[in-house]
Amino acid sequence: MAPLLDIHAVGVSFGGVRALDGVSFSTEAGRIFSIIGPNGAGKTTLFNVISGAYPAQQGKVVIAGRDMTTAPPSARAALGLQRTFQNLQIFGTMTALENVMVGGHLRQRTGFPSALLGLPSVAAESRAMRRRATELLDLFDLAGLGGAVAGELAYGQQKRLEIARALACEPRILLLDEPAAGLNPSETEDLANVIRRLAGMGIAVVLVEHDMRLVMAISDELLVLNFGRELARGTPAEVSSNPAVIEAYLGVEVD
Amino acid sequence: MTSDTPRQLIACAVLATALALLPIVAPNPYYLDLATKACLAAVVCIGLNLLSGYAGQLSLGHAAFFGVGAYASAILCAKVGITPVVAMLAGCLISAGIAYVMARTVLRLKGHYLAMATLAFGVIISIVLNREVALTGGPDGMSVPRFNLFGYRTTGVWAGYGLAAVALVLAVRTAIVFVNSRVGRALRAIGDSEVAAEGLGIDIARYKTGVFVISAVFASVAGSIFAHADRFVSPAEAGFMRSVEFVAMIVIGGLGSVAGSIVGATLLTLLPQLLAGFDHYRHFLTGLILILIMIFMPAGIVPTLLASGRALHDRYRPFGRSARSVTGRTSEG
Repeated sequence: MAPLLDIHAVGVSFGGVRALDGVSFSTEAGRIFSIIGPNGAGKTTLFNVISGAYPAQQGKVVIAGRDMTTAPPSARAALGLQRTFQNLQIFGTMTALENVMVGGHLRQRTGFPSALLGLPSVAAESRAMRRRATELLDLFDLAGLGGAVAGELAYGQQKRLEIARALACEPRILLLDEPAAGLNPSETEDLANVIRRLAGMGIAVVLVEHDMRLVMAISDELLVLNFGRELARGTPAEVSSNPAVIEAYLGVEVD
Repeated sequence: MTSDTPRQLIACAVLATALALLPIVAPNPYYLDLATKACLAAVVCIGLNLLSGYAGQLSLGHAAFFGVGAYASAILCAKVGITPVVAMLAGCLISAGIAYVMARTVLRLKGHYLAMATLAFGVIISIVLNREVALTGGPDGMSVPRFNLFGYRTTGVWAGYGLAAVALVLAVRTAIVFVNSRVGRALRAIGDSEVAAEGLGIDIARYKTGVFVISAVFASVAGSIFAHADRFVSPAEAGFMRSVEFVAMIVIGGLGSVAGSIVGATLLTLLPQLLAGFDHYRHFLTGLILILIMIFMPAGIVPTLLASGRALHDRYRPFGRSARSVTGRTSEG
């Protein structure tokens, strides 16, 4: 079976800086794949290339068997790719519930003509989406906050809201950009359980994260980036015993 | 929406009743003429607010679409002899076509290119209306036949007011249902974060194009009705200053608020008349009032009042903010 997400020899330069150079990896449904590396190693650039925020200058991005290297983010979303953002991108003036309802955009059908005419199907669809969104809010411990303006929620709540929103369109691949940043240890523990549960639902989770304990605990496979290149790849045990990784990156942490 | 939409539709019914009672309470042609202008400005503003307040795109040329509608009705009825309803629909089609072509070309670019393009479009329309004297009457304007529906002729100020009031109620209802649909939510999402909206699968260019076309059609319909209500059109109605006035109306009333569109349109239509007694201080006072509103109600009149109403409500409730179910800018419609 072809991998759900296949990144092949991707390269990106900004001016003279080589942000990504020949990076490849692939992952499957139900796996947790993590990308780690020091600041500036190219992790977020890699995410942006996968999600389509900017195109890969070299290499290929294949999603669910289709070459999406030059496709816009919305087309990639239609194939089941979703992401969250390191610097949150919630819809700040909408309510928490509406944020999740927008998340289900691709699972709804109302277009301009029926929305303008106000056909009964429009309200029915909103009601159904509202129910599903409420369930997702409950799942992420945001029950009762559905009516709150999303921009006024606490940071940790906004982070959970972003994941709930991404799940509303039932993604097959979920990119999480530093989901544990700014969370306390018990929140991080909850997050680990959530990510495991997502993988258990058959979602291919791709994680960029600085919290080594979290990454080592939940990942099936790791990719270590350094200066835009692959430094090592393998299971957490393999990576953490790799001398190059210890020297370049983990050595600082392990001490 | 389950709880909001019916409440908003009740508000819609209240508005319809108020509009119906106005001619009985104030049976004065001058008041009715002002009310007609306020209603039509509100129709333009509701459309413009869908574009600017919800999808976050600025248009500096909406008076030009108003002008396209007005002159389509004027020219087609007076010179070609087409029936007014058909002329109005033709105006809508022309406006929609122009908006579509503009949006398709300009919205591929990021940023405020739409504002620039609409500004240029407004200037071009003004020049055409002033110069094509044979067709438009040039700066002197042209007169417009009465509105009639299936041969039933309407007369007087009442007819113009009636049309404007019906258009306003329809515009309010359409906008409320629209805003609370999947499409409306997608537009608000675009206004808040384009990156996130696109990541969720929303085709940004398509949605912006769609809402721009809709807002152009709202303005065009208002223009057509204006032409028949006033029985006269002139290029000033389509000018740049009118476009700026429409933007001012939605900013003052409240961006992203249907009710705010009506309040802003009414206020800016009535203010110069209310201050007429102050003679040359009139403009100064208008400016001062607008500045004070913007300082003390930066979110616009309706959103600010709603927020303070909510705060009062919360203060007298044991569970406070977390239990509230008010939904920010959609709730008031």
